[in-house]
Amino acid sequence: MLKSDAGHTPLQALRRRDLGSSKRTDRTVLALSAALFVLVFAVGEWLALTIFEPRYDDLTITTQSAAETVAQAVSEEMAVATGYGIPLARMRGVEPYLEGILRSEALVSRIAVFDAAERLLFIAPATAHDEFETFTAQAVRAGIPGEDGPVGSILVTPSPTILQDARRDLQSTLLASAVLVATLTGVLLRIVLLHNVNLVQARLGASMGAASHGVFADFTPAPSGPLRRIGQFAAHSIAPLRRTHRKLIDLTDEVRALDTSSTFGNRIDGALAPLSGLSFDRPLKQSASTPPSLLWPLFALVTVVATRPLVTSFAADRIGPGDLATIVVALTIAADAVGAALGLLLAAYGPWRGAKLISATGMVVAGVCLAATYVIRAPEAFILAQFGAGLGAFWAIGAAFMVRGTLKHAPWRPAVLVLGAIAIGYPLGGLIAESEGRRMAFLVVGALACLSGFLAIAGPPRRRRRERLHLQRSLHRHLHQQGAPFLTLTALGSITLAVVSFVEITLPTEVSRDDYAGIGLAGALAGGLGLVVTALNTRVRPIALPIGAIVATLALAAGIIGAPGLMVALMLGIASGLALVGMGAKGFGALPAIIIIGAILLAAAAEAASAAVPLEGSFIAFIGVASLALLSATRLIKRPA
Amino acid sequence: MGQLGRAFFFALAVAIGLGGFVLTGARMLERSNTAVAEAQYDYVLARAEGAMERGLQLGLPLRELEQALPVLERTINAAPQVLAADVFSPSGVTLFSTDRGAMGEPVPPPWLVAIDERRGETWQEVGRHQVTMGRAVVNDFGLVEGWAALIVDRDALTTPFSLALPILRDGLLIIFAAALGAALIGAVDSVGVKRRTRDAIAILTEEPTTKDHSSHGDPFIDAVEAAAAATRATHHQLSAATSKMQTLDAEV
Repeated sequence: MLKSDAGHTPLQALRRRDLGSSKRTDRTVLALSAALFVLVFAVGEWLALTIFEPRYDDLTITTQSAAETVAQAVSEEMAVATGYGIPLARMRGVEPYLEGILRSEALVSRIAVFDAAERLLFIAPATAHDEFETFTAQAVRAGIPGEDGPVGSILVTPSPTILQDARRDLQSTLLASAVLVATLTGVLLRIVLLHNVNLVQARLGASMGAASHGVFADFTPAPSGPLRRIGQFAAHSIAPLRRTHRKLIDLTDEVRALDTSSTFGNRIDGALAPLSGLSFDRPLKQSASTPPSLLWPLFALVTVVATRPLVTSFAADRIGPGDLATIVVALTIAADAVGAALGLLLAAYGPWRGAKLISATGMVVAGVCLAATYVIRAPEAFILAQFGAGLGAFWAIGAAFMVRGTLKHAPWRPAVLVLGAIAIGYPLGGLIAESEGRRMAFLVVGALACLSGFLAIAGPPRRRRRERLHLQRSLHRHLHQQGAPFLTLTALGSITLAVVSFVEITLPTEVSRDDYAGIGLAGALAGGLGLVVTALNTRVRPIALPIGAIVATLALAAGIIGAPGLMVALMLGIASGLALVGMGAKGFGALPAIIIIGAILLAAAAEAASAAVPLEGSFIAFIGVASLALLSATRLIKRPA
Repeated sequence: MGQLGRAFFFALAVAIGLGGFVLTGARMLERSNTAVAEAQYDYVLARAEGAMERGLQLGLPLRELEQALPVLERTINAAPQVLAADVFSPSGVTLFSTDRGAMGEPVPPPWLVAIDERRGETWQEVGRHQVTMGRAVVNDFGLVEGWAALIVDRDALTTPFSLALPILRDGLLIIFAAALGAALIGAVDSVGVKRRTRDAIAILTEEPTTKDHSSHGDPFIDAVEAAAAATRATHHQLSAATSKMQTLDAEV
């Protein structure tokens, strides 16, 4: 019998081994990502040294010009005083006056007053006295005019922090760009290899294992991909066996038909006995249905996400009336979330006939609402436009996700799509705003959203059925899972609250105000890192949610104490990735959706509350985030890792 | 995604990443330049406004402030690329200007829009060739007596992407070389698909095998070897059974 053939690997042993070579692929993808990181970082450093560094001379000239202006102004003031006959050396209160200028002008770091004989009379800050000799290199000078020629001079040093900050920002940008390229490329490559190599190879390997046991059943070659040829050759190698077996069966039938007295029965059975363990079934049929293309939802989502770096900062410093700006920011966030929730509900339970028309109409409505921001000046209109944009966009995109088979069989697709759209959309919107200004960015992105609406009509008609979603049943199922509702409520709530509070509110309105490229980069980092965590080995899954909540709390705390925006975004990206890992397919249920919407509204409420109490909105949100994370951590203690 | 596709994908990712870095970095540099220049002009404007407010302490209305014009004259000499300095009433009529022809004229409507939409002490109106920055001139009772405005050449403030595009152009060759390097990294058969395919096909077609491609330890190749051996054994068994059956057929 084949099962006892020496030298053949038993199927059970094969099952335990990594037939898909996924560990090897993990290592390879990691190595390739690291190589890309090193390449981008090294070339970026080269660009910084050879191309950016000479451009800092312009900045140096600008800072020196600013220092000259200050020096000129101080010398004019001194000239007025000496004009009244007060000797320069006997003037009183000069140093406090100079200190006052330093406090109000960040452009200059040191001011010194000299007499005509170049003796140092006054200097600010006072600590600069000791290191006076070292600060004349970049300093600019202005004479103090008197009746009989200059009576002294003013020496002003431009602030070095301007150049230092510019260089530091460039390094942070380079680091973020390298991390983004390495992570996004690595994740996409991992997903492609999983589909084209690992899964196909595992399936082929399992078929080979079955064949080693005499089950020549499923050698269907993969429809495409690099391993297709192996499948073809394997199918080709067992074709003669099938043919011979079929002929043998025909011959056996013939012999049995002729053997009317059944005298040869035992000999026939004896001849066939060695073949009793073999199976020569036809290859298994592969499902012909292909999942719906996600290119359109990705394009539509990118247009929606592209305005995210702009919404709250626009609400805070263009739309919101002064002191009530935080209320307008909160209402904007809340209106968008409520609109999105309504849109998703309509996609799940609303009309389905003419789904393409729904997608097209939804995106055009969203596009018009976004584009209308170009002319909007009243807070009410802006809030309404955000509501319309959320409703239209999520009805349209939700309808594309609700196609049967997407959520139940491949729930990771929408998740990857959303994070990918964040990684692309955030920097896109940021760069458009940098180039054309915020109002124009809303107009451009709105036009793109309308275009995506028209593109929804193109292509073959959408005849697919809708995923059946039962809100009550889904809630019921989730609520009866041991511990799941508690963890979803606390950990997912904590992570969402932290992400919305920082990325949507604090980052654009305070940390990186007016730095749309920086906001875009931070948002992309948050999305990109989320992708990385989901693509990693999911051994951490049972504890991913509480760990994510703790990471989110630490991130928000770091944000409050003034850590760089990119670092906080990076930590929040890891936290949201951990949330995705922890939730898995359950993340697409009704309860998580309700909790996410609830957490967004809570973040908005925290921002609004900052108008009433003497606390920052981010700090109020932090109290909520930390409390929820603590509650979720209790599960970590009870549950062994 | 074959090796060629991966090479293209890697090259594209690196080109977009480095291009994005250059654009974002250059934009940050432009912003630093603009911020310093704006702070410089704001300082000049604040001094002019302070000088006028000191004059208002004497109780004079702004339109009768004699030292306003000398202050404005000094202001345009205080910083480079200042084209003109104006003081205008809350209703938008120019009271004093370094451009004598402008006195008594209404100010451009966009200035009044910028005043309405201002956040903080300074307002700014960006025109095609010039930028106007302004501050309120307030009397001792907190009443806005008028507005002091500084008209600066547009080139004094770095315009968006005026630095970024030349920087991108200068770095294009380096970015292209990096993309080429990334393409080479992507083109390497790093997951061993080609080798595995070659070995598996060699085993399946019963070509003379060399020990190196057998790569014991690769479970997939082990499975292929097991399947190939089973196929050969089954072939023999089927042949044996067929010949037995043919004998029986002849006997029957």
